[in-house]
Amino acid sequence: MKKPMFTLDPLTRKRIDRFKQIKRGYWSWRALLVLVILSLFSELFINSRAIVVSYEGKLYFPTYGAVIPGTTFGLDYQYETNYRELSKTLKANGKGWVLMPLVPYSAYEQDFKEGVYPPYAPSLVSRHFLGTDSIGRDIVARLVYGFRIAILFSLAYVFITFFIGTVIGCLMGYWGGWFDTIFQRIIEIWEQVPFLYVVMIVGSIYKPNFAIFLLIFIIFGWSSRTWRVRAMTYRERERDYILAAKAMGASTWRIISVHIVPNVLVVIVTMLPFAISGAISSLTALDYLGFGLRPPTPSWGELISQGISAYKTAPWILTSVVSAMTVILVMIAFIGEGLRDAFDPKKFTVYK
Amino acid sequence: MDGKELLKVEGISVSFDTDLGPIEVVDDVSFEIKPGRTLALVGESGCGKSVTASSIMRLLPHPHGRVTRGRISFEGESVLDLPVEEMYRLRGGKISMIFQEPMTALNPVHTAGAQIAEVLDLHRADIAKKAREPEVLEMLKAVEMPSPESRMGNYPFQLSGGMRQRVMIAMALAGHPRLLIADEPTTALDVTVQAQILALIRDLQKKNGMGVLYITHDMGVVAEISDDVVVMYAGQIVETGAVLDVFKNPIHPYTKGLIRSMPLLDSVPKTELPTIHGQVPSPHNYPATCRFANRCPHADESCRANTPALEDFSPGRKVRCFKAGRV
Repeated sequence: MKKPMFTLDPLTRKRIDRFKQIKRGYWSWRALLVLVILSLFSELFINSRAIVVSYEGKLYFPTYGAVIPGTTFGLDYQYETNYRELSKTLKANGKGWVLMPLVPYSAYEQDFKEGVYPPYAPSLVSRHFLGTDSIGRDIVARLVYGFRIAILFSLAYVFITFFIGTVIGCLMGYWGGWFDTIFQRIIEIWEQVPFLYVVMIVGSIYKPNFAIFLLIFIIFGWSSRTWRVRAMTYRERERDYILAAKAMGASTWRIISVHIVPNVLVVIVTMLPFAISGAISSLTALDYLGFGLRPPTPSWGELISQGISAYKTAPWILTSVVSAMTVILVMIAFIGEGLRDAFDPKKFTVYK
Repeated sequence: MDGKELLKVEGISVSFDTDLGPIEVVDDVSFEIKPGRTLALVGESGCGKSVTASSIMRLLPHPHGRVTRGRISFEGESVLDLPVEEMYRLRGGKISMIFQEPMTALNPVHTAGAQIAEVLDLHRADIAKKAREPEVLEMLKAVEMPSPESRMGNYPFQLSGGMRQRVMIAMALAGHPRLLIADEPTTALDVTVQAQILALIRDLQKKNGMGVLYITHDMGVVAEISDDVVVMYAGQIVETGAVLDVFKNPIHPYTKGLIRSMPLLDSVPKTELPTIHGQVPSPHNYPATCRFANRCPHADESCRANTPALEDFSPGRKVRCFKAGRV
């Protein structure tokens, strides 16, 4: 006999089927998933390091791993090989070949042309497909690496805050009484602390890196996640099956994790996409204001601020970052809309 | 007493906090259950039957309800003094409960099999994880679930009321309890299913030798299933005794009324079914005197002025009535 006891809930299956029927939500989900996965491997597509170097019959894969000094390939310097130069050199002396990524620039590297100051306009020849920013860094690289940081940041932020918010919200709802009252007041006071000022103050004391920034976001983000879960738990805990679970000897923790959380998960799932797009927007906004991640970390906010100041001379900066951001946020909104519709119980029932 | 009682409830009173102050909904209730025996707790809605059962499991709504007086001992241990961890072990393991509403007492997001497996996880450490599934199947077969293999993968909404109640019973029995508390387990079911469920509980009881506390308002069910009867009215016990004695010779006017208001096959068709007039007083204004006096056909001035006590009437019988044996 197979394992019929722990299959996917037919209701969940129905919701997934319904989500698949909502075309733009489902396609946005697939496209976003592909983008996120690709961005995790963006070193292979957008990098100043070569994918493969063949030198004197030996193959090198410099993408991941330690710096390969120029002397390895018979060049006269100890610092990291410039693979774009190496490519030309090897072609000339015939000792091997270099396979460069699609965009042969990293997000941090400044590319200068003789006699002209950046920003450089988009060009297929130089492989700056969307041009460079005002200090010569490739925009495609900045966009993609900025997207990777933003999406990883928001996913981490959203999942951690939802985890904390769900645990505390469930306990507030389940225990009620003084625990609920005290936490409600704590959260109400906590939510009055102005987030932006704290970020500015902390940013002026420490140079916020990814982890510190995430921590600040989490410290201020968890509290707003508790309300809905708390309300749902209040409703669920009065159900007979909770009493039945108690009567069969389940502990508080078990009742919350096994019996209540699966029943309130629906609210959380429908809130997720909107929380993620919100996190991306606020990270971008803070970067734009200059309170975000420490430069030269690639970020959309920083690109927007550059793009605005150089709009007349280099319109490609603002155009590309705004388009990228719009597309991503709209896709996430579509996913959220699709999920909300798929989880809407009213759609399952038709009265005639 | 010979000390072999499984459960001994001694003079418990339960009180609830309300806006109008604390009210006592159960007053000085005592009874005991021996292994393998069934005690029926009978009474109208709101007379404190379920509250009594909940206080045995210590599942009174917290923090509004509490046991104010009395002692509950289970296999010699005082239940009311046990630490919480011990209660987790007791609930579902040694004492388990079947609820009235099979429609809502199962978690909608877990399969029937998974919910039974959870009890095994909690109370049957002797069963390895891999052996749980066959055990669940055995449980479902034991409660006579039709096509148990496929039913164990079903969610509660895919099961009928009778099937859900069977799942509830399987859950209650999975921990091999010594005492089963059945809180009106058949009230929400069809009469045919009801008869099957009653037979099932009785069979399983014979096999396991567990004690059963059966809560109901249906005198027909009482006659069918129980060994002893405790009749409650307005939070108090009004009559106790062996089931045959009580049915053959009810003494308290309330018990008489309950038995008379059972429809019988040989009663004359189209005649009015006798009822007990009036309603159970609300716990706020339980009279200090005989609580049944305002509905009792035999009550006189002395009934309305004095408080009756639960007194021995004959061996094994106790009655709370001034006119016991005279009406």
